Amino acid sequence: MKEEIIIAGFGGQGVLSMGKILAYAGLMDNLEVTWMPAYGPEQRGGTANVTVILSDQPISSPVLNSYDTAVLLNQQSLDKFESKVRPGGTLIYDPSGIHHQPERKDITIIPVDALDATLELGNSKAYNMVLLGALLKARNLLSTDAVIRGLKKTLPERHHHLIPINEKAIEKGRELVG
Amino acid sequence: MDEEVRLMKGNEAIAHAAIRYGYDGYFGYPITPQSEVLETLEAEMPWEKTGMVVLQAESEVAAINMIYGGAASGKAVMTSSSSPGISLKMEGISYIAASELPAVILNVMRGGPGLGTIQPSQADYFQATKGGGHGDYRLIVLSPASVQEMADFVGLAKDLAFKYCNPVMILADGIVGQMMEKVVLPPYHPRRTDEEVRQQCPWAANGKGGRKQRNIITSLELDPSKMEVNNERFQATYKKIEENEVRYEEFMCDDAEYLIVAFGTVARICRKAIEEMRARGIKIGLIRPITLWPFPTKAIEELSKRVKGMLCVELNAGQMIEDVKLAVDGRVPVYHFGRMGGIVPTPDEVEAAFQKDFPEAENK
Amino acid sequence: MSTQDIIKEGNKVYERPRLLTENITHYCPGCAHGVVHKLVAEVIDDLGLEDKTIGISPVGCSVFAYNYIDVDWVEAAHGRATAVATAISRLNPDKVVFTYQGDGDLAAIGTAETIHAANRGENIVIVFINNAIYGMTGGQMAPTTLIGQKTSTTPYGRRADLNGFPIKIADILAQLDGTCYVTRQQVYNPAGVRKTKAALKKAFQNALAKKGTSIVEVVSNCPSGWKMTPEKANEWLKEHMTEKYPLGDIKDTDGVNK
Repeated sequence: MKEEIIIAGFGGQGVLSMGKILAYAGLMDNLEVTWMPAYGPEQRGGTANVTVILSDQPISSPVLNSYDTAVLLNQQSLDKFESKVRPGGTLIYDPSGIHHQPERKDITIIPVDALDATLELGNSKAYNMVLLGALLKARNLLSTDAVIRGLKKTLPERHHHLIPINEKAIEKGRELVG
Repeated sequence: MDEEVRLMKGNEAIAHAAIRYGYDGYFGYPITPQSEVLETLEAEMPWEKTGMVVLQAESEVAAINMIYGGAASGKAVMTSSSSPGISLKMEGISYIAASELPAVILNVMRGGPGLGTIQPSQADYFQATKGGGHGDYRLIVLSPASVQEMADFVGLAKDLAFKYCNPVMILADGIVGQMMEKVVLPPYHPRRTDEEVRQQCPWAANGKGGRKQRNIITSLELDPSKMEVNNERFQATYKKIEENEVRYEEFMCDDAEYLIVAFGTVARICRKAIEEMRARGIKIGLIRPITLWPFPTKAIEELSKRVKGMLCVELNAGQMIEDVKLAVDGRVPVYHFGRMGGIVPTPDEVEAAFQKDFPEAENK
Repeated sequence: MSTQDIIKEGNKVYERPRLLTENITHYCPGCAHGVVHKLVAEVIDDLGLEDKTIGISPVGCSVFAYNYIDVDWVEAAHGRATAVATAISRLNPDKVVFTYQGDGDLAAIGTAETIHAANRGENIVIVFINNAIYGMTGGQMAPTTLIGQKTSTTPYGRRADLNGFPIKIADILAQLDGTCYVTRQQVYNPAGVRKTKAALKKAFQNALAKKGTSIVEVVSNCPSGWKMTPEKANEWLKEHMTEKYPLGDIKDTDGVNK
């Protein structure tokens, strides 16, 4: 098993932390993992992306030419990474704020109205969790138990009361993929 | 406490490893992309667990001189920085080498020259392996390619520093500093007691404590004939290090007709490119120097007798290639592919560079 | 009466301090370093600190201080003595650490290290020799060189518009919360020598009791650099130096509240 994932969007959308939860969940499922951010000076507002690799074999390069799955959260990221999804791979994106829709025919494209779903849930910070749920479902990745344990590892203890709302958001994301 | 499997950044692994390997002190100054080392240490409060001292210095210059002081008193100490900050530390590193003191310095390289970028680079290879500071001295230079090696080399560097009474640099790139991977942290090694320090480092300036002779740590010797003797002693140590401490890793070299030479995370990018080229039938292998000084000259020399050519891949304009060419000594062509300023190549780019330099390998 | 009758224990009024080594100092005739070295050696001995003291020598005339006082020493890079002292003190908290620095080392190239070590309230003693000139390199302007004072880099006298003003670093350090004791003394006459010794003793006691940073500035001379006879240099010191750098305690507290 090997899954190579790029997650990209604006800083502040939870791109890096979504990747972190994935990586921790992979660790919980006894996989090899790498989490490599394209780090920059931006704390908020700039673009951010992270490459996450989950594998049952040792991982060679943390830097990739192409990806099995892309989760793209703004237009710049879509423009940059749509072409880097491998034929047969999956592209998940949030259509809100996107004016050029992805066009590839050789990959599975899944629009996820994560922003709307987040508003329904009433917690804007759960945005990335909706998308994480969509990703897990679409690619049939990782056990739910591992994801929750990954979440616990990622969140500082003082935020552990937020775990139920995050779980709900992940569930919502799964539902949106159908 | 036992070893522990964790997921963390290379920089964080450095901090945890320093505590667990029984370091006595860390002195540093924030600079991207390595500030997590100091941040993690401050958050871990090791002074309450192991008694390890952690201090945010007022500058890189102060930090390296704190390392000099700590090492002079026989303690196991380390500092960390990134390229511009390492330049500031160079004077102190020369003093530490000249005073024959054990110390560990981490450089998480960023793109330069000047203030440059904060993205990954390997452009400080010359600085680390050829001097950097003034005078004829050498650093033992370790090049980690994974978060696990970041942690492991904190222990190895300490051992080598004390074995040879010489500073050791862990020369990492920004990728391995910022990347998270699974890491097995070592069990806790107790810090040496003051009594053990006195026994193991009888040269240390830690108070006479009943010694008849006072200990003086200095690099000053105004008599040139005595200074030459000091230099000869340094060179004898370096020779011993060259004989005993060369480390490297080979990948698919046994039947290789071509070779990539790369260090640090770049070697892993090349490994992926090699896997892809092997799938197309190209017999290509990788040698990854783990010690950049002492350099695996003999291993590369031997390989150069069996292969048709080599490609050096580096995040710089061509630095390690000089050492490779010295080892190859004109036997086969040696080319360079580098990205600079913080750009990291993909495996595809490495393949393309190889195809351009060795078109005959593809056409077979 | 023979000399043998005179040289006996009962008649002894002075002896070489036990912790001053037999090495002949490299200092110029009339230089005050020798006097201050002697006082430091005496204080360390008086307080019984021979086995637990580590000295940090600077770059400058006193770079070889380690040849003269019989304790452990570390020779620091130019200006970095207090950084070196910081680490030794923190890693060896039961030891007493002092630096011995000149004006160029402490108040020019090492200003940052000096101020930040003092601001952290490191439990160290800073012995600061202020002779308003760079002695070792041949008499160039120091940060403490007086206005109008001729040096090899201010051959027509220091000018404020070109070179800025002489810095009163001890007064600056006294303003920092980390310093517990800051004093300025002289050693050109016996009274001054006695007061300087008392000041050094207090400073070392502060370090032992972990009261914070103590600074003992000694306003000093440099007959060679000033191009004067030793006697003339001391007169010049009295007349000019103490005007800009007045003697006495600048700060004396019970200890730093860390």
